Amino acid sequence: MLRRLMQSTGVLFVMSLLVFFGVYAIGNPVDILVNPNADQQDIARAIAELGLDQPLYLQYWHFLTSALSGDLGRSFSTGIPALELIFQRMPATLELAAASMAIAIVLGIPLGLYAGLRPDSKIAKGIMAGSILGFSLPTFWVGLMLIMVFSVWLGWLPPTGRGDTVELLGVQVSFLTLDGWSHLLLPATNLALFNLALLIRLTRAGTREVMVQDYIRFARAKGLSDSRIIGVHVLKNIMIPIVTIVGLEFGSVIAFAVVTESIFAWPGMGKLLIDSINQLDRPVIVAYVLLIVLMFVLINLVVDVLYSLLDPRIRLADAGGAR
Amino acid sequence: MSAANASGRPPLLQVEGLVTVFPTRNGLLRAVDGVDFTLERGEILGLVGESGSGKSVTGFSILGLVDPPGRITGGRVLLDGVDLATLDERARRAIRGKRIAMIFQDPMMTLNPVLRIDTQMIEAVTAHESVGTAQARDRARAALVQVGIAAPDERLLAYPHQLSGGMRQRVAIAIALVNRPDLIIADEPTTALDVTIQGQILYEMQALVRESGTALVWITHDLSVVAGLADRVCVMYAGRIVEAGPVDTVLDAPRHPYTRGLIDSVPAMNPRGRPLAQIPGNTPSPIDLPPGCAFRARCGRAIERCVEMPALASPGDEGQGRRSARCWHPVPLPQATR
Repeated sequence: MLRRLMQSTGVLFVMSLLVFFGVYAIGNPVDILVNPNADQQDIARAIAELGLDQPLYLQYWHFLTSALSGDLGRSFSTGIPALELIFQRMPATLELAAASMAIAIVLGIPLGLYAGLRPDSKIAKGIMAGSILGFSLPTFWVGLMLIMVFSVWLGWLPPTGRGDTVELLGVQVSFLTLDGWSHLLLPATNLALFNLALLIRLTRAGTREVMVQDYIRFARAKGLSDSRIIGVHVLKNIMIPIVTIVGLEFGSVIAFAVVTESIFAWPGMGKLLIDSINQLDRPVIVAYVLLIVLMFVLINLVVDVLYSLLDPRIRLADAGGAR
Repeated sequence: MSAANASGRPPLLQVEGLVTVFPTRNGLLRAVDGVDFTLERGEILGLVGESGSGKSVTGFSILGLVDPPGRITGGRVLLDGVDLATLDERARRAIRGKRIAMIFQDPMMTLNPVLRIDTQMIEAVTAHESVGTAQARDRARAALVQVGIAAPDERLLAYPHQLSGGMRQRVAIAIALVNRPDLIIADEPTTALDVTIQGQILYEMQALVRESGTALVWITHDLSVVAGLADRVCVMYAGRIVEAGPVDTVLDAPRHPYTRGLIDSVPAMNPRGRPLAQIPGNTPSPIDLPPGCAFRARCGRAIERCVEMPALASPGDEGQGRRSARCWHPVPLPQATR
């Protein structure tokens, strides 16, 4: 556990270095932030205000010391603390990510099970062909098509925004209102497609592997019902890879909702990231990336704990040491 | 074969002309090709043969658990005179694990690795009877005690990987016994175990089925196991029974050349220092078997008539008990050879 924690700290440190210097290398934010008509003095003052007149290693040192006390700096463009900006946008992204994972799980596991149990049926072949599309069609194109069909042609669902939100535990959420749902459905579906395809294939492969095991045959010989065999004996065995993937993909979905959020103008973190990159707003970019890394570390931890719950052969101590 | 025994009841299990095939790329594989046998209540039958002789498939066919694309294409399996093929899936499921239980070869693979022993035992009870979990648990515990497992309460809470191979096979046997079935089909359950554990489990199984009056079909390739365990033996070759009868009769005076060869291949039967006896040639491919006796290519006693399939019939030694062999030119009785 301790080793795990140190590794994570190391990863965070390296990431902060890479992003900090990477963004510096891209360009000078002052060129974008300052009014094009400003004179040399104004520019110099702006540079000094943002602390960009100091040498890079000093800038990094300042960033690092204040980061350790929980301050990741203020946005260059708005002056609001970067973390605050991100946390404002986070609920929207989390909601979108959770909705898309829910769609992927609720549809993916049953479809994968079906395809695994009846691999030769026409429906199973249809499911598998569909999953290939889910893998290979680019997200942005599918997003555009969804808007085209459901918003433009059919006019069923709104193409952009979050819709009506309700405050739940101090956070604005969409999924409690009908209007919010209608706004959520298209972007969540768009984001879910890849993971839906992934879960279908994963579940199908796991099912086919488990179904030929002796313990399934033994369960049959005990006279158990099909629902018991599939619902308990098969599902519990294939849950281990599924939980891993769901965990990791949940992280990815949050981190890379960028494309979907841009297309559907969903006011989440991904949209914030794109805007920040356009303005070379370094504190926000760095804070975003570090937050995402932290999130991946935490998700991995949760996945390990779930493992030991699902698979009695894995003890938590081993899992901490082995990875 | 008589349809009824002395008490007027049909025998517990009747297998008549059972044919189980597996379609393969190279043709139809007739894994079981017309197997007949009868089993009375409480009787122990040894089903002996090499790998690929169809003995395990016979066991799975009785339970209706042949893996697709394999399927039963002929014959009947009657339990208490009822043809199992006429029952619907629900009724067949009610028989599996309740009236006919099965034990598998590899105890490392038969228990589900992610479920606790108690879960796997309790579900075997509740699948067939509407009893409470506590009561099912008591039954499971009693079954564990029955198969000689110490500290049963602790074992119930264990996962399979925490138990040794011998222990797991005992658990599998306990699961088979928990519903007090009329018949247990044991598919080489001791093959994967240490020799010492093998002996223990054999002895215990024999005691348990004798005590409870459970009939037992013991599938094995090991004649020495059958010698000490079974009442009757069926020797299988290439999907057919080639010799069947009381175990002492068949093993002391085999009439089919294949049985003879099998017995001679047991190393203990060979005088020390001589090369071990073996049956020449290989088991024939079970796909597209030529007509006639499948063993004739390897048989030292083959005659011209062997291109016709001999029937499983008494070889004309009625004094030797109800024994039958599938051979035109049977091995002479020992008295005649000396």
